[in-house]
Amino acid sequence: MYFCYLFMVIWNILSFILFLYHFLQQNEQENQLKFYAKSAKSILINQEGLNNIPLLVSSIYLLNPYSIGSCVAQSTVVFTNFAISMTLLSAMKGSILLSMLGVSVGAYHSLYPITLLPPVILILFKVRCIECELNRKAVVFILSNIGSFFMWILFLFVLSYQVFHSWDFLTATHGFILQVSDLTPNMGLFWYFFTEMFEHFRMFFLWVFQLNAFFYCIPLTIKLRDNPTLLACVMCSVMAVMKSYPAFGDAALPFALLALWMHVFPYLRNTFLIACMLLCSSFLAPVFWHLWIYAGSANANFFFATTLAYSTGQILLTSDVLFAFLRREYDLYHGINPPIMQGEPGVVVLR
Amino acid sequence: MAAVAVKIALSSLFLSVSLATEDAFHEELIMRPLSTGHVYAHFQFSTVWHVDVEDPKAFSHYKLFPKSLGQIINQYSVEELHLTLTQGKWPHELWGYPVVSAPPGTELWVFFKENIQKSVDDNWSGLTQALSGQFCASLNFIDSKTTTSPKLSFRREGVAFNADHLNSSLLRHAALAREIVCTENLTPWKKLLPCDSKAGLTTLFNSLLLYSVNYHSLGVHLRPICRDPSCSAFSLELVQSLSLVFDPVLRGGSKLDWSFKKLFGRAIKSACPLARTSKVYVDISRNKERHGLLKTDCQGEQIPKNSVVGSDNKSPQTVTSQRSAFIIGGEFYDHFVSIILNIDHLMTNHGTSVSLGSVWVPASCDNPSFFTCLLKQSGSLFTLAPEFSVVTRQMTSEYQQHFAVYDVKQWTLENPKDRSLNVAFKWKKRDNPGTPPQFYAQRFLTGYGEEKGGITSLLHNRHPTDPLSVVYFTTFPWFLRIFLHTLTIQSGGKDIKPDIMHFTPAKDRSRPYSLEFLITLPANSVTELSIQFNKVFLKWTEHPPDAHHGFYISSAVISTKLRNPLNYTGPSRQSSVLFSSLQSAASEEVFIRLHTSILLITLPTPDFSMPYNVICLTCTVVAIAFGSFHNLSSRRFEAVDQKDSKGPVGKFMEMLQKLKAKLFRKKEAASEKKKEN
Repeated sequence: MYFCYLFMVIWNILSFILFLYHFLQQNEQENQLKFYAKSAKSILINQEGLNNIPLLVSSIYLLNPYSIGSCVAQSTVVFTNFAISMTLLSAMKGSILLSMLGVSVGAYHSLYPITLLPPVILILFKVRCIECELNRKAVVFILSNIGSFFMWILFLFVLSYQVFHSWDFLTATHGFILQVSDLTPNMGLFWYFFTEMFEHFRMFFLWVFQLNAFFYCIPLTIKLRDNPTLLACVMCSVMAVMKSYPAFGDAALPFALLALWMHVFPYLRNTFLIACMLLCSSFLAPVFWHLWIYAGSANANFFFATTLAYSTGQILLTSDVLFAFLRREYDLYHGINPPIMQGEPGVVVLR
Repeated sequence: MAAVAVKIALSSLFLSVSLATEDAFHEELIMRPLSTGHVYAHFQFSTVWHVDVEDPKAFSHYKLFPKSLGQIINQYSVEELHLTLTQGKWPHELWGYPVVSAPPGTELWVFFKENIQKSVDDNWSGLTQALSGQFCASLNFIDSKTTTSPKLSFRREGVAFNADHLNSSLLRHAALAREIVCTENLTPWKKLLPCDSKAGLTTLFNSLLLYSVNYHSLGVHLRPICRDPSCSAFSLELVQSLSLVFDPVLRGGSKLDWSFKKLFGRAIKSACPLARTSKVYVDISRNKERHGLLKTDCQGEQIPKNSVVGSDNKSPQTVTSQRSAFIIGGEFYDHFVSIILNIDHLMTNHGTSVSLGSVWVPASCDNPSFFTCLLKQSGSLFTLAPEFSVVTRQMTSEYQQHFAVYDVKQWTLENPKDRSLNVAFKWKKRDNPGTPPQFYAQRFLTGYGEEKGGITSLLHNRHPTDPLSVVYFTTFPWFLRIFLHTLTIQSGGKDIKPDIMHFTPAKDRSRPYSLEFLITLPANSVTELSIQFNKVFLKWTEHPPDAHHGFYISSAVISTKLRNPLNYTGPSRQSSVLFSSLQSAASEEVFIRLHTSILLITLPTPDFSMPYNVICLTCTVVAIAFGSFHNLSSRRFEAVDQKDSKGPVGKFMEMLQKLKAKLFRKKEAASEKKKEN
């Protein structure tokens, strides 16, 4: 029951984020409008579309079978989702303490939301520090953010220490997340990989996979420093795929946030493929699970194949959204019609 | 009566005096026909060494005691050791109680000395390694994943030297259900005996026939005991036991009749010259039961009244210890439930009441023909040859046990020509199936699929009026995630609340679950215990060879004390010899330990042929993520000419076309030249 209540809270917060977000987005568009190309008018966000988005996104989150499933299963992933939603909301409202509390609760609860620290700081920077340039003031601002984050997380750890009177809980919680000692099948990449891993390579691949989960934070922050909201959404999707024990509930949040980027959807390349992969894997996973575990007529490989397809689908979706966003940015500044080169229209490629 | 008492006191005194002088070795064999037609043979070899366990320097001179074992005991500061290697299941409901209960597979439980040099766990792991070498058994697989320290179920059986003997921190218990017993274990076990298998009862050991049996259990039990009734000095007692259950039908012929030659392939030809006693006992109680002891046709041959000794003669001698706090461990079994319930009357006074007097009298010494007559009757169940004498053991005021006795030493002296003793047992009538014992237990798996499961135990208390207090101890390996909240204990639809419960949760790859509780079973009831678990997915290297065979879950240990158990012969708490003091007198309670059957659980398996494929596929997916994010974050969009926009494939095709064009041009040029010529 309480999970259901929390679920409603998350839903409310999410819709609230979206309202706030649409003001931000409008501001952004207005600020940058003078730099945009004239022909880019057709791809600008229009007010009517924005008004529909909050309802759309909240219904995506609310009616998503993934989130309904994790609510029914009483998965603790809703706490992480709650922390992340709270973070994004308070960051957009410009509250440093609250947003850092959200990040630290998320990091405390499932470690991976620590990668939301850079986007949240960037959002706060944008909201609170409109006038500050890259000067001493900005550095102090960023340091104060990081400081408040560490203050919160230290507070949480000390609170736990007061309960247990030892630091053993760290190895049992964060150690458990990092070492991947439980190999119960889930929709992630870790379980079968480390079930089948050769013993002397285990440590190496553990480092590679865990670094991989955190590493995307750095290049994407550099690339998307002007669009921290997208950065936050992309980090949420990366987390949902690359974390050691992902659940369906982890994917529910990035799916809901995806609707924020409705305006880049025309630039997506592999929509059909991704939709097929996600749908097929979502439907086949329980079937293959049953065949493997209960019927005994399939083996672990069947279920593994669906989890692979699911992860690949999510990765393709995230990278496609990122691609579409960047491609649209290009068109906004350069116009939707490609320049004529040697008598023929040129082609826009990544170089 | 008084005369008998004096006689017993004298004999026990003599025994203790003679014991004090040198090491002693006894060999005994009990044969018991079971109601299913099977034959139960229990060998017991006990070596008593007059050495103080607490004194490490004393472990340097050996006579009868095996040196290899003595050194291990001394090295690892062992105070008490119990090891059993068993194959086959003992169905209590059909066969009653064995002399020594043992779970299928291996069970080892050890008490270490208090003043131990290293930690108990270090000594434990060293001991298991040493015993593994000593008995050629895979005891080295005992590690922290299988070891527990049960708080209630296991107590010292010998002398306890320290005051906090109830503290289980010095106890380590482990069971390996997968371990198989074979001749490779029997041979080193035999070598611990003074006579090896050269003479004595061990000459019956024919490895070929010894292992084609329904039940086979090797045991080594080591405990410190009091050297004399006043307990002024201590000895070390090593009891080696071998229990076998034969199916006579499988040994040729269709009949259930048996003889030593049929069961073992040979007869006893000699006694071990080093043995103080060398005796064979055959349980003939069932024959007697059939007719009633006093209502017999053998007129004038009634059993002398004074030959059957009840509790009158068991006058406990109060012993005050010279050490400030020591207790005969055996006593605790009789009181363990009361101790658990904090009625701790034993610990309050340091000197405890210990009965060392023997409570048996060879009933037939005066009148052997009475029983021979009984057996010869037309109505008797079976006949036994050759001639024997009888001992009687008073179980309750109504119930007695009778054993035919063959003294092998005497036999070889009396029959110098044909010295081979071949006990032959012939059924005259088909026996009725016996009634199940007062208390027994069953355990089985529930559930389906490889995700979840449950374990259910049925505890049968068949006593019509008395409730029964029972300590149930079970361990689960870490790869079964036990949920304590699913534990239900029900009897006849009513929930039973455990009086005491100890639960230790497991730690992955380092500690098992252990669950121990004391419950009271209602009279004449079947109590159902059940608990649910989730199965853990193991790494592919953690599965044993032949992973689809499954994992064995070691048996639960159920401890209780029974009033008047029928057909029960247990090892004596007070004596090294099975039959020197048949320990329980009338109306006394007997400690009984039961082991349930082991369980076989299949865990979900990965595809063992897939590691390379899985690593490649998963890494590919990660590479897709890395590649695309790398591409998007390290490059930027640029408008280029269509010609330059071709990817590597396009460029390659272009090159191919150029090459083709070049080749053809050359050919064309050559043909043109020819034409021109």
